[in-house]
Amino acid sequence: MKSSSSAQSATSLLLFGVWTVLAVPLLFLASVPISVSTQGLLALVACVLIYGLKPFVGTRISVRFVVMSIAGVFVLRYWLWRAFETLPSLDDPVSLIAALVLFGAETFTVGLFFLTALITADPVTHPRPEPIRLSDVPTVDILVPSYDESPELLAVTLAAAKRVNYPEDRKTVVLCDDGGTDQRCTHSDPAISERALARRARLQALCDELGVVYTTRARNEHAKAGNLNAALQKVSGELVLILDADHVPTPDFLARTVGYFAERPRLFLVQTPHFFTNRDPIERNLALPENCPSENEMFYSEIHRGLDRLGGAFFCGSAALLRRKALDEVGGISGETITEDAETALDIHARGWESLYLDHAMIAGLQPETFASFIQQRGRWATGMLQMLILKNPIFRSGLTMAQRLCYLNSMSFWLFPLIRTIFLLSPLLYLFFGLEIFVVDPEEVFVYILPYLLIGFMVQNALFSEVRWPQISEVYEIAQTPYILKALVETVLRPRGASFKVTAKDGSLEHAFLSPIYRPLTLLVALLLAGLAAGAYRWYAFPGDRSVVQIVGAWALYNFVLAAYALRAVFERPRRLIRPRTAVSTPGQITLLAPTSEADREAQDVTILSASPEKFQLQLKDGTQEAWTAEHPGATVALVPTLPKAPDLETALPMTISEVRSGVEGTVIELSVAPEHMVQAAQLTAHVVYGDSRRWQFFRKFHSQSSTLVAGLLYVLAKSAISIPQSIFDFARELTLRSGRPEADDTLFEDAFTGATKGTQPNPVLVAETNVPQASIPQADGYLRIED
Amino acid sequence: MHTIRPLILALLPALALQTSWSAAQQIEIEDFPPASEPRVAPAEPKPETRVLPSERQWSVPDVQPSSEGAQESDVLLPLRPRSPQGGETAGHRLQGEYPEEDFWLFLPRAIDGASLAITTLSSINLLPDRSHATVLVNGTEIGSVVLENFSAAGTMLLPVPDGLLTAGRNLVEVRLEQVHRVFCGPDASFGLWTDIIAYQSGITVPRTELGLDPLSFIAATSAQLAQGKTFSLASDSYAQVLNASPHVARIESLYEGLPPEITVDDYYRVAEQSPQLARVTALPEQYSVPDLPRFQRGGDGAIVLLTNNGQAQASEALLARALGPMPAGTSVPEVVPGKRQPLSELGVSTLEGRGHYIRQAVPFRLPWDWLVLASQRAQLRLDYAFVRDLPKGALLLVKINDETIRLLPLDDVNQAGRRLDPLLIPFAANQLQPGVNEVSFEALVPGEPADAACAPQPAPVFQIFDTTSLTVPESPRMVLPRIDRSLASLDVSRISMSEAAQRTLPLGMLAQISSIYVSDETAAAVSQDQPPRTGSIKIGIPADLSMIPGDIVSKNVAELEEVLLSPPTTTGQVVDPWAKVDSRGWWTLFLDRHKATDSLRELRGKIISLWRGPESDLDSWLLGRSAEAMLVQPSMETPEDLWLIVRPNTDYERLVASLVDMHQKSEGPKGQVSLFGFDGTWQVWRSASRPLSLQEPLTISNARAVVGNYVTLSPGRYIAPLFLLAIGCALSAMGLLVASRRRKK
Repeated sequence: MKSSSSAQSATSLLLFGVWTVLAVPLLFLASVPISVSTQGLLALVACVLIYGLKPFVGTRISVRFVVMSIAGVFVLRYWLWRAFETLPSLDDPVSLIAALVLFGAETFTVGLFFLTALITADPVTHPRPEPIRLSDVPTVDILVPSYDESPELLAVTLAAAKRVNYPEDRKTVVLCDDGGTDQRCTHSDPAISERALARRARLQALCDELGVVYTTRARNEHAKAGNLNAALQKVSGELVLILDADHVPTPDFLARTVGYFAERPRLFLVQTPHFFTNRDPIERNLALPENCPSENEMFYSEIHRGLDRLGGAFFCGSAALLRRKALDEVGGISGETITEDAETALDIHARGWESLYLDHAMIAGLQPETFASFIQQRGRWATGMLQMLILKNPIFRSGLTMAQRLCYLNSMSFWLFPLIRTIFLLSPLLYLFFGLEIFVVDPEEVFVYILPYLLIGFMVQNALFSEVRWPQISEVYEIAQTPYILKALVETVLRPRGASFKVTAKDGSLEHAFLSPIYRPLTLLVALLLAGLAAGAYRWYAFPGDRSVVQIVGAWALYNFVLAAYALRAVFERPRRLIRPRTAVSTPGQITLLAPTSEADREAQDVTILSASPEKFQLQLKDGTQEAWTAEHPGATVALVPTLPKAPDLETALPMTISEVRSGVEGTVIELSVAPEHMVQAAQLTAHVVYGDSRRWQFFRKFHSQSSTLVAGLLYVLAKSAISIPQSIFDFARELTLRSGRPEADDTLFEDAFTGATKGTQPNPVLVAETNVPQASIPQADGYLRIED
Repeated sequence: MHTIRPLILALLPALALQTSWSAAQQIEIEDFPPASEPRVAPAEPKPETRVLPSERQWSVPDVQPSSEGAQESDVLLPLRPRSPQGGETAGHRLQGEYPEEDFWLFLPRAIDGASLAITTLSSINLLPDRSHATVLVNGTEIGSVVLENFSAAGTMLLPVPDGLLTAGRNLVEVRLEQVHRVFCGPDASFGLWTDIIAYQSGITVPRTELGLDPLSFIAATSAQLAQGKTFSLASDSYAQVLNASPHVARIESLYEGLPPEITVDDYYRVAEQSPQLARVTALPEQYSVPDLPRFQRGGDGAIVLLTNNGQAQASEALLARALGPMPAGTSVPEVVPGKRQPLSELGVSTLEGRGHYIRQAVPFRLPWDWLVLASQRAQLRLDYAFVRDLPKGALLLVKINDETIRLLPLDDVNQAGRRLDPLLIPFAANQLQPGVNEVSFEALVPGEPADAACAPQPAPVFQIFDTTSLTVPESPRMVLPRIDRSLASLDVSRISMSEAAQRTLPLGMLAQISSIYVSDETAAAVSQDQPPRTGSIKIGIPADLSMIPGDIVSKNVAELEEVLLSPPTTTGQVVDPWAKVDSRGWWTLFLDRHKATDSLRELRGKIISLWRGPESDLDSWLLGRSAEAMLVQPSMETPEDLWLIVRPNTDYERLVASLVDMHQKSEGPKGQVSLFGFDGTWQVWRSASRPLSLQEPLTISNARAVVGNYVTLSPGRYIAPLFLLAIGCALSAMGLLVASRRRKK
């Protein structure tokens, strides 16, 4: 065994030596100045090779390496060309400074390209862990931190946590309530203290009903990290599952993850993806099609798997199982920055612990509902990551492997994108407005250096992430966030410890269309870019000698404007319903009128549960029963008994009131509201029928989303941008003229979360019939914790 | 030893344009040593060489006064253009609105009370009221000449103030202002020209003023050459003439401008031609007179420089001493790579451009071992100003070696009338070349209105201040074979003629060609980058092609011969100053079918050249071309050896003038095969397999630039290793990955 290990080390050393021997002349050749025609030939060959090999990048690792290597050489060559040939001389110091800033930004993106290449080289897919004997499973504490979330929201999460398949004596669900702390309950503001006391009481009752441990603490210190640490002091499980308040787990969570801890004693973290049942506000406001992959999928489907390969999978704040011992070693959840999750992982990694990422979503959460809250959330992430970069720079942190340092550097430096994007957006304006020479380049060089560089970048991005990110969508997202997050970054640089944790509001729902209150910065940015184009047109007319430069810079500015104009749609909040709601269900059941007026009404009617929440249910009457259920029933009380052969404990009657009955070509749909006293029962039922199967989330993540080709993606963004310009002008005009009265929503009510009934949603999707849904994992009769499909 | 007083009959050489037997002359020489074996052999009549007139030669002056008259009449000491055009006897053409030209006037002594005759012939397009020539002598303006001679040449006399004309060289500057009578604008300026009939312009002196001294000899020969006559060299040995050609060349170089055409004639031949003003006679080999060279009066009154055979060097020294050194500032300044050099440092003062088509050029020289083929940048820091109220569309093209690097509008009212902030204009350094380069400023100012004579514009259209600077990147010392470099390395003594050429071409051509490179030879002492003087030229005729060693010629003999023997082809295109200024956008491609076709063709050519390289095969390149002469570098192994193949019966005066031009201009023969076309321009073919040589050790600091130059010449040798290394890196990285996977397991 030992000799085999040393042989492998020798092989690795030899291969590294070979790589170095080849890389040195490669680097030298890439730096060699060559003529435009030679560069043109190089660009042509590189583009053709990459384009030809692109389809195989996802399936063949050898092709992936070759493509990344060729692209890497070209990118490196581009960067060296920029460094050696394209910077203005010292004769024009103002231009030189502007050019250096731009070059710095490009250097950053080039660095990020190589980091991405490294990270995405070999994404990991873990096999399932071996089943563990039930008697050997470790004890697990499921911590659900909360600050101001509603009891209805918490009820579902806690009910689902309680229903996670695991021996009951080995599992403790804990609500860590920061909204009902002593500090808040005794707040000098009576309104706050009253609310806190009421909240504490209500949540304590809820926890009692669900069999969950309620904890709170004296003071609200160190935000989420402090809350969790306070809770950790009261529990002693070997593992800790941390769930955000809106992150509802599926029952198989522990069955799919605990086994890894048994296999790897130095494992401290199993992180799983975050899946969201609603769309983020940018995705929604931009009206991206439903089959466009969600923004976070690139990270959870590709990047994090790559980080895992390099030992750098890190804690994302929720949906993660951690080893208590490791947490204790670093004093619990770290709280120096406002991204306590990544910081904790960094601290634990630095002590030699290992992490793992399992690409199987087993929680479903909520995206912020409005653009403003989305920006607030992203601002917090960016601030926290920058804090880490400043305060706990991974490059200088002892205990980390080089690969881990690079992983953290990649994750942190990504959040500098507002700065980089700002430079890219404004640099052409420096020329168009002020005539600064930011880039010394001939038109021919544009065709052999810059365009191929961009094209290769697009192709590589498309090759690596075609399943999880459409072309140019990243750019649109970044531009939409840039003017806001930039401010947070600047403040963080000035006062690295000054940032405070702000909880992202998630359980609101958009009732009508409106202009986001934070529309100004992005609108100003777009206006500035438009003014840049106008300046370009003037410069074209006024300076015939500069036309070749104006063409180049103008094209760049136009590209920026196209993306920004599309990104501007993000500020127009529009409720848009999903054609295929992610929380839609199809569970059979029966309802019975509790106060029948006729004999026919006494009979139980077969129904299908279409949607469920602690407050509202939506049912569809089975064929043949429509006659009996008419509009005269609203206000009547019914009992719903779901048919759940694998969860007989939930097959109890749930009393509800009929609020609406609709008949249409697709049958009769009944809206039911749940009385507060039955909320917990409704939440338990919701947790099971809506959140009971992780494969539902996998379906939306892996099958419902469609990939896009480079050309199709580019054309899509171009077309959407072209349409968005008149749309935005119209919307602004309408906003100005209808200030007094809110514009009507351009769609019916959008409610996709479990916090409200799915009123107006299409009842058609049937993903997995309840009768066919096996329990993902249950304690088996053979005494092993198994995952069953 | 006894003294005899033999009569030496020197044969008068034939006129350059019409060879004929001429009258005999006698020279008396005292103390002439006896010949050991006197040899008297009748000369064979030389084959008549008929020179084809150039396009611009419509007449040859008929100046063949009788021998008697010649001795008694006055002599016009003419102007000698410093920038030769070829076909000098027809007139020196000055084109445009404000052209200028410098002339030399060789005088035997300082002359007072003289009048300078200026003979001109102008285009009918000139508006006489506002067209004139201002004449300066040795820097002092002496008057103005109205340009009103349209149908025939006319002469005007300008009195020269006393004390202005000195013995030896006098500089006469002629500055023209020409106005079109009907149109105004760049196109109109091409229709403006005036020929200065140099042989009829100058100072007339009594013939007696031409004494037996070096300056008189030079003045007389200058006058004789201006009249279209040749410079006669009588010798009994062709071999000696050929051997003496380096020294003869140096003598010729004293005259500057177009090197004198020499007719080599047999010592014992009796020539029946009009009397000459001056000539050289070399005594036969068997004679040796101690105090030669010296001047004697010929029987026809000519000043005869009598020299011993094989002592041309003494004659050269005698004449050079009398004329004194060349005035400074005539050589092209050298730019030091890696250093920012203002024009003032290059000896160039602020440039001012006047008119509607203006071209101001600044030639400069780069070291011969400077070579940048890749994408490094040079930079021009332009310090300029332009006058207010220029018509809309006025623009200034900044060019490097005739390639536009920046187009500047001159109609911007906000910037007009003041000195502008320096403008940085970076450009590809590979637009520069070793040897002579040129930065030029070309302004196009539309007429306002275009269909009337231009309004007077006293202020210059633009000024390029002498603070304008040029920065050329440093390069490793590298050399590519190229004809112009080989020409710069010429050893004048290694310029020779093939046997066939000796039989076909005038022998004087040898010295004439050699004299072009004498100045280079003298410059060698100061220039460190000067290639070693090992170069040679062999002058040949098309029949020699088959005997020239080297791949380039031997594989393409028939094609090369065809080029020299096929009828002249000229493009006959009208000059269009706006041709390269397309202010329309690229999108007009979609509107203009011709433009689209041209662009597609250009794109196709570029794509093809990506694979094939920019250089085509010689045989396909030669297809459809014709030339008067060609310079060939037959072998890459001996790049210093050139062949100049001249089409028989050609007007080689223009060829010579073009080669002289190379000293000051970036245009000229280059590459491996250069064809001298009938339009007076050179077409250049470069071999794709030029060997690049590094003249310094390969170091870390120069490695990038060295490799950059190498791989630019052969892209395949760059791209293939680059991708192979990339794939190698990818595979080894993948191996590392697999190994690390195993370790993890």
